This record gives sequence, C-alpha cells and structure tokens, in this order.
Amino acid sequence: MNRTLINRLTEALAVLCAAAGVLILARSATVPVIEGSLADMKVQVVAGPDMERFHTLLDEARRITDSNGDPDPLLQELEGSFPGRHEVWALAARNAAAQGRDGEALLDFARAVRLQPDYLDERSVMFLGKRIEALTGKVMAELDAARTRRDLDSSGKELLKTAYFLRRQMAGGCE
Amino acid sequence: MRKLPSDVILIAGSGLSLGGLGAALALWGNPANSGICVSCFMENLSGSLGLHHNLRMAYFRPELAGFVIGAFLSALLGREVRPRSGAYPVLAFVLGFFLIVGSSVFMGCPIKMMLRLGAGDLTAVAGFFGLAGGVWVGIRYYRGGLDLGSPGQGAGAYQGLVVPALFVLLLVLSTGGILLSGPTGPAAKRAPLAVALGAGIVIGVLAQRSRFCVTGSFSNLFLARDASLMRGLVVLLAAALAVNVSFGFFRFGVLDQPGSHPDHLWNFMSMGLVGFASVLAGGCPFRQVVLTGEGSAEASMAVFGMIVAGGLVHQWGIVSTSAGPTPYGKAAVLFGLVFCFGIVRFYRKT
Repeated sequence: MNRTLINRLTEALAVLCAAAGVLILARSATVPVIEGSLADMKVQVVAGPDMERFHTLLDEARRITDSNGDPDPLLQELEGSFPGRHEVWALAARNAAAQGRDGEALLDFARAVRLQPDYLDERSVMFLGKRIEALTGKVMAELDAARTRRDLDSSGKELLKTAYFLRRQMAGGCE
Repeated sequence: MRKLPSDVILIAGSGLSLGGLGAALALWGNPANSGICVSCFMENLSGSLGLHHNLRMAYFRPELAGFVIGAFLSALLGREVRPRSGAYPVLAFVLGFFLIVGSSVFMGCPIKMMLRLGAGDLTAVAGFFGLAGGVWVGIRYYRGGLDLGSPGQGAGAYQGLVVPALFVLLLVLSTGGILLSGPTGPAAKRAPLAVALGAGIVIGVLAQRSRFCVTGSFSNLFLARDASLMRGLVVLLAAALAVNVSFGFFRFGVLDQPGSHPDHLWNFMSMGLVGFASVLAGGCPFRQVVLTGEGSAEASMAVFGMIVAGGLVHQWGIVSTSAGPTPYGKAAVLFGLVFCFGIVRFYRKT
C-alpha cells in the first residue's frame, strides 16, 4: 500500500480514537450517578459540612429502619445527595428486603457491593454475603421462571444482569 | 524414536509450568482464575507501595520476584545476562503503562486470559481475538518499516540490573512486613510464600530459556509463519484446562465467571491495545518482567511504567470491575491506541 496513504490512515485512526475517548469522558461527566450503570458508579468522598449532614441523615434513617418506621423519604434524600456512598445503598437494600421488595433490594445491594466489595468478603466485618447470596438465588429463580414463560420484560432483564454481576463478585477473582 | 529438539521441550515446559502452576496457584490460595496475572500482580505491588488506596489490591506477590530471580539465575547460568541500555526508554515506560491500562480494563494480562480460557471463561474469547488483532496490526507496521532503534551495551548498560535488585529488595521488605498488605479482597487471597516464590522461580527459569511470550507467539506466527511458540500457548491452555477440570474449578460459561465482565467489545478493544503495545514494547507484560532478569533497561523502564500504571488505574477509576468497564477505562484504552498509532506514525522509516 502507498506509504502516504498508510500515514493518513494511521492519523485518521488516531484522531478517531482520541475523539471517541473525549466523547466518552464528556458523556460520563454529564450523566448523574444514579442514572448511570453499575459500572459508572464512583466512590464519593464526603468531607466538611457534607460529612456532618451525611452522618446525621444516615443515623436517622438507620434509627427509623430499626424501629420499623418508614425511612423512604430520608433514604431518597440520601440517595440523591450521596449516591457514591455504599452505606446508603446497604441501608436501602436492608429496608427494601424487609418490605419484601426483593428486586429493589437486589439492585441496592449491587450498588453497595459495587462501591464496597467487602460486603461479599467473609474476612470483613461488613460481610453480608450469605444474605446477598440467598436473595440473589431467590430473585434469579423468579427471573428464570419468567424467562421460561417468555414473560421477562426489560426491567427483568436489567435485574438479571445485576444478579449476574453479584454472582461474578461472589465467585471471587481479581478486581 | 526421534528425539524432540530442546527448544520444543523448553517451550512446552514453559507452557506447562505457566498453565499448570498458574491454575494450581489459584487452588493454593491465589484469587480464582488469577493464579498468575502480571497485571493483577503489578496492581497488587503498587498497592503494597502505597501508590493507590485500594487496600483490597495491596500485596507484594512473591511470584513476581520469583519470575525475575528465576530469569536472572537462568540467564546467569546460560551466560545470557546482557545488561543493555535502552534505545527508547521513555516510549518503553509509556508502553508499559498502557500494557497495564489495557489489561486492567480486560481484567487480566495475556497469561490470565489464557488461564481464564482454560477455566471455561468464554468472556476471554473476545480478548483472545483482540490480542491477536492488536499484534497483527503492530506486525503490519513493523513489516512496513517501523524502527524504534536498538539497545546498546555501553558504560550505562548496568542500569539494566536495577530492577532485578529492586525485586529482591521488595521481597525482603515484604517478608519483613514493611510493605502494605490488604486484609480483605484479592490481596488476602494468596498462596503460601514458599510455594508462590518457588513457582515463580521455576516459571522464570523456563520462560527465560524458552523466550516464551504470549504476544510473541502471535508475532512469530504473523511475521515469520513460525508456530513454535504457539505450541507453548496450546500446552499452557491444555495444562490449565487439565488442572481446572481435575479439581472441579472448570465452569463453562459467560455470565458468572470470577474476575471478569461480559462486555465483549471492550474485552476485544482492551486486549487489542495490549497486543499492539506489546509488539511495540517487544513483549507481553510477563515477557517484560522476564527480560528484566536478563538486564534489559528497556524492559526495566516498561516494568516501571507498569508499576506506576498499577497505581493510577485504581486512583483514576480506569480498572474494570465485574460490573463492566468504566468510562475512564474505555477512554484510557482509546488514548493508549492513540499513543500506539502515534509511535508507528512517527517512527516509520521514510
């Protein structure tokens, strides 16, 4: 092939890759964490006055959950303001599971695990692996049954993807 | 009966040790499917030096020191210690950096890719073709007249022995409890020290003698139609398969594999970057580590780049998780390809 043509092709490929990289970064900067995928989630560093607010809200939500109240309004506020904190999603999952909202609990556990994988590590004091494994098994059985009946909608498919993410995390390996 | 040539035995021995011991190290304590993974080990090393804050990935793997010590001893016995300075040290550093970027987005180096295939992980298939594709692209440019220069053996050549000495020092510091060591996660999953070091030395010796390299296997095939190193790759795969099947670690599938994600496009792209960068750097991440044992300053710079990348892929959110590749990981792979295309554009002989 002509040398000049190869040089132009190489330059075009480099420019294409650079443009695609910039577009991906620009897009990730504009999508709110809560609307992004699990992979897009980032750990949120909380400091200063935000730290105080975070702990006040979290402690209150925990207290309401422990006394069998309705922490949903507080949890929604926490999820909106601190989506990169694993404690928020772990509490939301616990609350959803207690109310029988298994699918929602699974999604919230997955977000908590994405931000803090120690929830699935039995060496950690945060270990919730047995609970998460049982919930994943239960939800997957329901989703598999729906799939067999050809009754799996798009939200079910998303939930199945999330369940498989948890299964991969439980299987271990490097990260 | 016709005797097998010694190079065939050495290449097969390398494949056997990498596949067999690679799968067995996971049985002896290393993370699943990650008995040997140079990129994971580099991330672990960076964490143990405090270059990133993910304690779950902070542990100096004795296998790494074993590879270098084994390669050094083997080169010494074979009178192949050839301390040599680099012709393109800065490029080697950055290429080493992108070797880890690509591997971290795929979630494993080319050796781990083969081990994952040997454990029935079909998400590695896209990575396999990506790696082959990346090597093919790199070789096409080499055929077209790419020349990065040749290393020299002048007065400064002994800098090539810095990395072997450094790895021995790190091993001593690690056993002395001075380096960071994570209590949970992959860092806490480890084969016993003597086993890990011993396996590393055996593999290092065989890899140095045979010149085994995953990307080199593809390069030789594409460049010279020489399939001899490919035999090692086949033996590696077969050995890993045999160990995994024998011990019940074989699980065939896509969606629930340990240490993987099922984003095939980015598995392909990230390993494509690793293949391309490996051709330009003169070997896959594992080969770079082995080459430091022979005193190559170029490989030493690549290894320094790999150590720095091991920290930054975690600090900058480049590393993939089981949830998939991150936007930063995807962008980093693309910028790595820009760098590789830049090299081949500017270093082509006119």
